Amino acid sequence: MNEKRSISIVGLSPLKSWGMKSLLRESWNGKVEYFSSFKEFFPYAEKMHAFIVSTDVYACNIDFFLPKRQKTMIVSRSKEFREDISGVSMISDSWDLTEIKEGVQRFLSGIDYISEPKGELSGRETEVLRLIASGKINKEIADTLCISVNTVITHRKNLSSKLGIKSASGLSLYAMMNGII
Amino acid sequence: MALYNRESRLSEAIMSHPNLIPVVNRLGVRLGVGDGNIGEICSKCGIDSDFFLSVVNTFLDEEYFPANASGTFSIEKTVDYLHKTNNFYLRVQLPNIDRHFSSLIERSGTDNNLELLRKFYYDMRGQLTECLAHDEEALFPALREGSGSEFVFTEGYSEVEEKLHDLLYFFVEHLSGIYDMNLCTAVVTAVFSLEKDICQNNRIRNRILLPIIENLRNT
Repeated sequence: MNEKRSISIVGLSPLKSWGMKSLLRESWNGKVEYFSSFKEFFPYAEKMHAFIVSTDVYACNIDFFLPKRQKTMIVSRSKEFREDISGVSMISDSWDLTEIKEGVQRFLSGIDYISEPKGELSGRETEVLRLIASGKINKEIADTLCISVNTVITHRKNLSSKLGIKSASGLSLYAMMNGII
Repeated sequence: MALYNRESRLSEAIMSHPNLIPVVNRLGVRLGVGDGNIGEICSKCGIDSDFFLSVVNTFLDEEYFPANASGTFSIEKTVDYLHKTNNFYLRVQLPNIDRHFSSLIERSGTDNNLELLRKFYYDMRGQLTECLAHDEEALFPALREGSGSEFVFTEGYSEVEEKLHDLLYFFVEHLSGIYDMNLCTAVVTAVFSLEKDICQNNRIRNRILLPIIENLRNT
């Protein structure tokens, strides 16, 4: 078992956990462990690298999750959670499927669990790169690709991380040198 | 890393960190420092040793924050140091890269992507020149007059830092075709030197100049 690639789902109902596992399977090929409670999860906590938890589990065990907030995503019942707070990713089980998928993808990208090997750009990243090179700003890219601005920002971070290029003009030059534009 | 203090020998510090040479020059110390310690040399050259040590330690150590910079250092001294730094970029480092880049392109074949890299360099150079002009025409005069609330502290240096990093990256990973290896090394070394200097100098701006500005705004 590759413990470093294990995500634990803690405190979600079996049905939500099943749904979450299905979503994770679309863009990540690591292992997913399900625990119905924090008590059940805790003995394995050190072996886990990222956490998807209910609001209650997070709130009752904030001492544990707060230092790991960048690798934690809360699944809230409230629809009002539209933004990530305090470095914790959040999604709502009331969102529509597209929003949930985007939220999960952002979370996975943030913890470096994307399935493509480092250095290889996904199709969507290449599209974002092409649009950056054509001078579009994040909002325009989001509108063109029908994704949220947050997702564009995540793609930009991934591009910088994979290519080792920090500036927008550097990304444009890369696109030019590699025939992307 | 261990911080330098008044008892540290300056020659040893410079031998360990040759990139300190332009820094101590800007502070008023020329090479041929002898074997004196920093306190003695500062005293001999009429330099405030606290300021000298804060600049040197901030330049070298990412973790170092000078204590009470806003209450300790004069605006005049800090601005003077930064003005000399800007001059060093404008009169020494950028022309040096320009010269090496031109020679590299002249003596290399046409079957390479050097012209693209030079265009990228010129874009970065333009942005850096704008930042320097902003310092000299707006920031420094306002600081000298003590009107700290009337200027904008430019963020452009961070972008320049990113672009310099990217330029180096393109040389290291994406340079292609036929080119003069020695001249290419000269360009890359000069760009490395500028990138490091700007990155380290940004720490001085953020950790020494910024507290002074904030102090001005609050008084």
